[in-house]
Amino acid sequence: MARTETTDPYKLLGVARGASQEEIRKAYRRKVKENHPDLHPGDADAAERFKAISAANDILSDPEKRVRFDRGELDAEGHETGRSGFWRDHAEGADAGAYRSSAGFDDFADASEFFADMFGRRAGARGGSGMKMRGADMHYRVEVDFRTAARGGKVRLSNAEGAGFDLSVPEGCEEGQVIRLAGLGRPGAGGGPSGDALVEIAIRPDPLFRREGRDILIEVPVSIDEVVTGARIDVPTLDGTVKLTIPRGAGAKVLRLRGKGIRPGGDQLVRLRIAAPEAVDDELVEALEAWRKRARPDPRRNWGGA
Amino acid sequence: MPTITRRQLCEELHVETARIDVWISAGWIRPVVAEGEGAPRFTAADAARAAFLLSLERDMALDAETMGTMLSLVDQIHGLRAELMRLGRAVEAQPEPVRRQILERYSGPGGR
Repeated sequence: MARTETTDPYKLLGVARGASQEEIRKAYRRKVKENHPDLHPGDADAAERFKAISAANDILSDPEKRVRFDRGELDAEGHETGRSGFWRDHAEGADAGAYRSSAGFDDFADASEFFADMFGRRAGARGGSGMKMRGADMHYRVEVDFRTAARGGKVRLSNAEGAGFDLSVPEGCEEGQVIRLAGLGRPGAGGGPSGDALVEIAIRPDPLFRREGRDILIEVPVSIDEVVTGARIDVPTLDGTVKLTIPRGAGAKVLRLRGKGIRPGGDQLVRLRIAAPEAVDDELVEALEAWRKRARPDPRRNWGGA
Repeated sequence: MPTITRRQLCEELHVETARIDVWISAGWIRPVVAEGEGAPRFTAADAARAAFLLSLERDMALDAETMGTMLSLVDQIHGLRAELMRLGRAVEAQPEPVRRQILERYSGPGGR
């Protein structure tokens, strides 16, 4: 349907096809001022132009008429074209062959010889052409535990149809990382390929470990004697328990376990948290008072908060 | 048969091209791509179907899963209607005695 310059109601009012009703109202008012015959007594063509503008406004100012015009059901004069914008009026036509489905009665051919013949004869005609269409991608968000994300592992998911599939979580996977699984999205149409599954990873915090860059952080409670005299203690890592040597006089340091962080190159950093003794006896107090006299410790000497 | 471009369809429906592309990739609307051309073209039927999709999505606020299910059922209904009509016309084209026999069998017990 050709919409020429002089009859397209949108062009007559000077508005875009997506114009809002408010924009159309404003445009009409402007056009009336420019073209009303009574405001332009000397303009011979004004009456004809004004008639066209009124007709355009009749269609576009009425939201229902506008929709029907856009769908081709009304022409520029507002008359019915006989074309329908409703799907049901096209659904059984020749152009809609690609959409009609026989899924509702495919089994009839098995139950009845007559139907088998009937459908068999027209097998070539049915099965509508349509285009080969790639299926849409499916989006998932999956919560994975900290250790699986850090060292890698498998997580089981199910897709839209309920079928299960395994997701391989890569080692060192980060929060928000998206993993694309080819072919596990929605099926394609007309024999086209399936879309992909896009899985976003959310990582569940761990009670012991934290991640900073490629390093794993952990805080370990130690007793005063351990940091003073030195000790060998058991410390958990992502790969199991290891022995950590606390050097004599270590204090509340951060000790480094090489290679125990995110591979390659990450370490595990162990922060020693000194736990005060649970029970303080007189002997301990005396020993430390004697030590204080000898050593005169002044830990706040160069401290900014003095 | 007259066809329109994707852009023209978007203008008719007042939607973004992205929305049309989602419908195409879901297989809900299947425009024709002629040999040697890149761009899809939409028939009047395709345009009516797109208007229907828009109603389902925007006016009835259906999510993608539900829309897929609805469309599948609607397409099955039209498939059935088309076959039933065709079968009816085939019967109508028969001589009167044959039509009567068919009608009797159809209306009798077990037939309905």
